[in-house]
Amino acid sequence: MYYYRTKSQMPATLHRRKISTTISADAYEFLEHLVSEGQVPSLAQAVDLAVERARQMENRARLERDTAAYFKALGRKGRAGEARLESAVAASADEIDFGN
Amino acid sequence: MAAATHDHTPTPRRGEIWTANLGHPPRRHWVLIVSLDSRNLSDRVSSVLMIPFGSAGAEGPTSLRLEPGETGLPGPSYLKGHFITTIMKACLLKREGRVLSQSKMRAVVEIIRRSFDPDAPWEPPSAAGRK
Repeated sequence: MYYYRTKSQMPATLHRRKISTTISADAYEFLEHLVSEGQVPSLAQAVDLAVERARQMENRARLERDTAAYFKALGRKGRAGEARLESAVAASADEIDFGN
Repeated sequence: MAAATHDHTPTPRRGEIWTANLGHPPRRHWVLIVSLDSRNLSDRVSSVLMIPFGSAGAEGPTSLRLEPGETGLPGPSYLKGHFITTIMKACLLKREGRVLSQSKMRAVVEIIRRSFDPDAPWEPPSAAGRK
């Protein structure tokens, strides 16, 4: 018998949770559309795909927001340090001879 | 601080901290080697991938604060993944004493990835701590 060390090593089908709930007609239609289009084999996996996409969008928004916040929050010293490094690495990259 | 100088083409390894000449006119900076050793040690490739240390900054999706005990540098420093670039091996002046641990290098890969991949996983440290 094979033992999985962590949950993430298990195939998705082995650690699924059962839910019983109602959703809007629109949402149901969308999930069925994912199945009929062949993107996923079952309604259950259509829910997984929809959640995965939502989490991906959430992560993207968080990364964009926090990256912007990082640069916005830099003080005078921090901005000067970034500018120094920026011009130093830009000049060094310029030295690479791609002809070699 | 332990240091080695060289009078031939340097052979840096991934995870090593080096003093390097960057920019025009050249100024000394501490840099972290991030490219794979197959490239770093090859005599057919004259450049390596590196990211520079900054003494000022803050932690963020693409920036990682390191303590002197981890780097051997004189004070806290910030690795900036958004400045990943190539550098000629000839610009590497001196190998510093410390090599970053595997787990720190994992974190370094993540800050670099977040600088160009919108789908790179990111949880702010405070949010991760709540889990």
